[in-house]
Amino acid sequence: MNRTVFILSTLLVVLFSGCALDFLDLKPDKSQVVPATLDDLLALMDNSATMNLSITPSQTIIVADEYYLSDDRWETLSVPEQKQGYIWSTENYYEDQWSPNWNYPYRAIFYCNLALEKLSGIPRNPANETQWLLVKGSAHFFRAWALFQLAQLYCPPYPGSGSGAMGLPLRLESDINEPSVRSSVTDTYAQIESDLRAACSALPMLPSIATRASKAATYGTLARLFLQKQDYATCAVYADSCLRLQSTLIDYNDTDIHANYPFPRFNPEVIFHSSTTAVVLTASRLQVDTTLFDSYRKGDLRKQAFFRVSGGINTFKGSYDGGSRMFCGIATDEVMLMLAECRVRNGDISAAMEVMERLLVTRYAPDAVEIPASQTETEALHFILDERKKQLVYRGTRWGDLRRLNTDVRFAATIFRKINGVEYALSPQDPRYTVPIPDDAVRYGGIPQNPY
Amino acid sequence: MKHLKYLFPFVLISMTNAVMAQADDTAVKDNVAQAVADTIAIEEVTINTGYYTLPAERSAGSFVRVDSALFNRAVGPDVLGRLEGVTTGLLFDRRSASALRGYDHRELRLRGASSIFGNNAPLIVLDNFPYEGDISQINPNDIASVTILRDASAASIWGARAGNGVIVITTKQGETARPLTIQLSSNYAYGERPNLFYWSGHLSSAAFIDAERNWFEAGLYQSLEDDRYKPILSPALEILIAERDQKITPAEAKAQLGRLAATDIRGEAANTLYQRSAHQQYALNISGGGTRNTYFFSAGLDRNTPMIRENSSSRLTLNSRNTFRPYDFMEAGVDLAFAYQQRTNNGMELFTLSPNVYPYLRLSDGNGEALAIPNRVRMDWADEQYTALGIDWYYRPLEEIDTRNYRRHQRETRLQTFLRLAITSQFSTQLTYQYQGRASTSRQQDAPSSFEARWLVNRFRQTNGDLPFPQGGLLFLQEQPGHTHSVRAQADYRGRLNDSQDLNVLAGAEIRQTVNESRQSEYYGYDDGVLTHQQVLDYRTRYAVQPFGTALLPLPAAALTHYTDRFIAYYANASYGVSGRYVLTGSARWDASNLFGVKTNQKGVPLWSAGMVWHVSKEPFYTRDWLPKLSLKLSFGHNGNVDKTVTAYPTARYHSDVLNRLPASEILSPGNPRLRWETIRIFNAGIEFGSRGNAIYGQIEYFSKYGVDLLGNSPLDPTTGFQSERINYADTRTTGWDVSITTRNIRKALSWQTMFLFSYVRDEVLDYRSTDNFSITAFTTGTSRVPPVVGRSLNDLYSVPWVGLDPTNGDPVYLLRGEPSKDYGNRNALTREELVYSGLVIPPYSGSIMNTFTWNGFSLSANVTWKWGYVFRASTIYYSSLFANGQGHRDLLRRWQQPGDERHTSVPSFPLDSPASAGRDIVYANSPATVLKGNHIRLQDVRLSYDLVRQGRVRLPFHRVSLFGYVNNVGILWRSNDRQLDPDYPSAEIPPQRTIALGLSVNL
Repeated sequence: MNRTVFILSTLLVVLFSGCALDFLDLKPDKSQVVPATLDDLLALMDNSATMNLSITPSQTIIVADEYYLSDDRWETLSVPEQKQGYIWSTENYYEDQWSPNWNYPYRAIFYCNLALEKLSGIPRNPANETQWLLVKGSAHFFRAWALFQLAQLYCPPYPGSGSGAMGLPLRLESDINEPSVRSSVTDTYAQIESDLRAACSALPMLPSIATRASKAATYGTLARLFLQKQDYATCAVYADSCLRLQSTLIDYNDTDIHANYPFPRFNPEVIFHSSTTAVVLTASRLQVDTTLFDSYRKGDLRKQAFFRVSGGINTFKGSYDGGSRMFCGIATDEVMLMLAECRVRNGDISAAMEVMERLLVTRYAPDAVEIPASQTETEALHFILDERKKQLVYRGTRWGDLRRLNTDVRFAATIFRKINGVEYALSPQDPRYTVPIPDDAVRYGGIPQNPY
Repeated sequence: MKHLKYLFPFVLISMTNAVMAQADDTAVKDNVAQAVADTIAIEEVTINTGYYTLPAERSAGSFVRVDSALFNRAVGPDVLGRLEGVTTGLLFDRRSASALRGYDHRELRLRGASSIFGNNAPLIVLDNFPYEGDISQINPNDIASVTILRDASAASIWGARAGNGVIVITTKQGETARPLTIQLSSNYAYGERPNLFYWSGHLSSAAFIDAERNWFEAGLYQSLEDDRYKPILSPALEILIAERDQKITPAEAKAQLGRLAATDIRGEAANTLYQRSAHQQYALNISGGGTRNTYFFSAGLDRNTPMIRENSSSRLTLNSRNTFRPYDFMEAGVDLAFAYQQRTNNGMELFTLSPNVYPYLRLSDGNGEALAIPNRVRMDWADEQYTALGIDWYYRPLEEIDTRNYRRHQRETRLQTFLRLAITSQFSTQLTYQYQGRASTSRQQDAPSSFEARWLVNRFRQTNGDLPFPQGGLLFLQEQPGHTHSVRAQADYRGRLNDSQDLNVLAGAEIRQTVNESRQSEYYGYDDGVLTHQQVLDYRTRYAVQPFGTALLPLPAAALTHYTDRFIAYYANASYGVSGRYVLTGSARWDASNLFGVKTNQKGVPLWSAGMVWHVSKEPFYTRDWLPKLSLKLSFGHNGNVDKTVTAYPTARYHSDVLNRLPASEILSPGNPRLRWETIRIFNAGIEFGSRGNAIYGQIEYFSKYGVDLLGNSPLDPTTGFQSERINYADTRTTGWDVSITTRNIRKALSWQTMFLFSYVRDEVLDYRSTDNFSITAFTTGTSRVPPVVGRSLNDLYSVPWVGLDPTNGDPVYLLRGEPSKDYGNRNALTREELVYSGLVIPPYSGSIMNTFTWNGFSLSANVTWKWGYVFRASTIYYSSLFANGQGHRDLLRRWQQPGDERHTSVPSFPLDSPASAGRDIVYANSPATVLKGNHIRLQDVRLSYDLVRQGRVRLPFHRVSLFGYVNNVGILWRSNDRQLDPDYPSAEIPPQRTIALGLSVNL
């Protein structure tokens, strides 16, 4: 009998354990994976919600001077960060709430780090080379994009910040147990630059769809980076490289500027698509700054293309997103404006004006384009910066421009808000041009807060 | 007979002559002799663990057995609900029961909770296999008994899913050598009309209008009025606006408002939306058995008319269980069960009628004409649209009911078959296979005239008359097929080593796969007459929408999911008995499942338990005549608990990207390489006793459970890209007592028996390894588990430190850093240490007393349940919600109105300015002022029955007739709160209805 028991139990164990290993390897949820293959990594990079939408903070638009809120709209704002950000307060900025402006770009950085780590385990061969390089370049590009966006909010402006100024925590590994440490501003910008250079060598010239990274997008971002560093010579080189790959413009004369949203998503000017949104920026709240609105003169097609006047409220409709979200990606018009500005700063005003003319004939009615004939450097810069402000409205670039131009007395300006009869001012060089780091990042990450 | 059973492994069927012949040796004779000598009846109880059946006296574990009589004392379609109040240690947590989550929503807890974020519900086992379906598919009339396994021995049998205990349900079956028995039973249960006047969220129409008028006069609705999206405004505000704009005269306005003030929606709703519930139940059982076979057949039909009008459900269940013994050594059986359930959910509830339910709304004009109420767009604007363009934007709830066709069908098929071979008299093997197939189909059809369909068409109507969203109906379908295959192979050895020692061993392996799928689809422009719909729509163009803005057409629902769960287990169980006085038991099990994203060695977990029983009263030295039965038992074991959502590796889920239409994936979990299984160590000690003649008998048990490495959400440095992470972060201890004592007070022609049940449970956090920082509401809401605090319970309720109301203006004042503060925006600066302790939200003490009187076939029983030592947070007025969505509360009537009021009320004054700010409301609503004691005594139910049996002179055309009447939810006898609130239902808008049932059962 004991033998029978033994045989039977052995049979049982063998029967079950033989298939056990394979049996338990099946995925519980068909749509779930542990990212490992190139396809998996590319799918991470193609997650537009993370890599194209939430990666770009809306706070850069919220704290800038392109709009204003009525008292009651401001009162009803439920997100402290938006409410305090509007009046540039640094007290109770977050009220302990988490901040999408900080978390989501870092979420994208996690995706990039994970993709780069997994990619290092996948051998590159002729068969997979295109995809392998696309993943590598995209991961570097998106990480640089996220860091650059964060740097415009949470780090002091690059020039003049001194070597000791605190930069961003540079998380280059996906392990969540690694501590966060704030680097210097110099290191932060160096990391962005090295990521963009790595992206540049890997990416294709132009993207198959504008949500993907490309060489053109990388050149455009490099131009943005060097513009912020006020290295105008290098900026010009990259802006020019970008335009050599992609210089198409939409002619606003051929556009139905009275449409609800005149510019479709992924339109010919878009080199890299990114967009952002926030409650405070929705059509029923945001009112276009009156001085800005009045600066569009007669014949400027952008006045109709960008704004909708309804119920006495001027609100924005000109996003290159084709909807209510604010387009913050790279487009030909911005690259041309960077090139023109750099050319003036590098001493070639007439070359700059050529670029401006190419752009402006598509923005004004045919008889309304006015390019000043002879100008001083300051006049030319004023002209270009004015056009820049009018063209790139609600693109998220205004805040960076304020920060960089404040170092130059010719362009420095104090900006104002008024709520419930109280006036709030933000003067050039004010430490509040650097936004506080979210409470939870300080508490759980143990990183120092920005000084005020 | 029953004593014989456990000597044999053939537990699923009854004994046959042949088996008895095999068993006919001295040991059995001794045992039978002992059984006969032992006149105490209680230990005849056998426990079915689902793997084997054993007599209670051989079990070292903790169990409660609810037999057929006790189980069938209650009436109704609900299986698990019948266990309430008749078992110790089982708590029904109904804190979340509400219109939104269902009035019957509950969470079961057996001896406290053993996991913090994992599932705390006990495992349900139906006829030897874990039950994967919807428990409402089981007909209680088919149930023979329920056994609740509460300690480590349960989990080491049932594996990782059993850390919270196991509820083993055994259905009826035939018995060998029994003549044909036919039982027919039927009952009819009526429920009372729901009491809408209990709803504390109702504010009288007059007071509501006053509040609105005050804010209106302060100009606070101006921005809503100006809003181009035309958000809804209440009927009273529309009147006030019309008066201000001189569209109506002040006198007219006054008259109109007066009519509104005199309207109370509850009266009309009670008649038009609700009704008395009714439940009919019919059941037929046929059973019997020959010498070599048993059979059982049952059919059940339930028809339910719930308290919400136009809702209904019905259920058909069919069952057959057959066993055959073609040879003495071989036995086989086939069970087939089928259940079909259909629900119609066209009805509407007052509380969810529309986002804003104003107290003075009218649903009909009294002449049978349905009236419109505001929903999604402003009434004033809808009027304009109707008058000018003839476009109907109105929402008329009573008509809406007729435009709906919401149905759900559920089918379940279970097939179980087994083959058992008795290789020797002591050794047998068994192979069991079960298939369970489930299918559910939901269908939501909205007619073209429904509000939802009209809304979509109207919203996208272009100024040139184009209709990008097609006219017609809407159809939403959801199918959820699923199935489970289970195979179990088991070998049993049960034998006597010598005259005084016996050994039972069983070992086996089990493999199981469960697949659950779901498929959703939606159709626009649907015509139910000819089954056509509009497919080619332009989802990419952004259209101008009414009243304002632009939007894309909503994509029709289309979703597919496919989940597969796989389990493998090896298990062994042994018990060794000496002289009928000592029993040692041990069990071990290894469980593994296809956990995702974990290392291979984390897919499985070993579990074990050990126990002993000492029948003290059987010792030669034991001489206490007054207590002829006394036993002690101890068990200890080590269990694991699994949380499928946590992973060691980063995991991602694929989807189709909305923007670029490429395959995209999203990280679900960043992965935590340091992850470990939760483990639970359970110790149980018990005494069982019975006095002479069983005048008093019962059991007392003490338990303690240690949860080690429990998983919880710990806030994470957001710079990592994630805000929180599930980590092994806490250790807890739960201890308690379960006592059940039955006294037989009178045992004459009139007999009187009393059953006392008492449970005590407390939990404490022993260690907590995370950052102790949460927002204060995590500690103060009372409906969710609080974050762990060392030395405290997970069921603690805390409150904002409360000073009282400001005597000058009635503002709430709280303590911030020891200073009285009205800085509501800064409330999150409060630390956990500053919060004040308000009590436990789960009752540590609970119990019941059931008295049963029987006389000449009459039986009367009443169950009184009680809960003690806990609190609940009562709902109260949020002025911000009153302002934003017309959500009132009767507490407004008790508010501070003038200096001096602060002495007798804590309801803050009416905020004339900035009512939109919720901080002020939150500070008050989470203060000790809204905490009420939960202590109460409830008369749960009363049952009167009469049994007439054909015997002697009683001549009947049938064997037996039983008649009964049963009243459930009779009422609360005493409660410590003076607001007439039911402490077990703090979120429910209406209290549980009293139901009255009458029934008849005939045995042919």
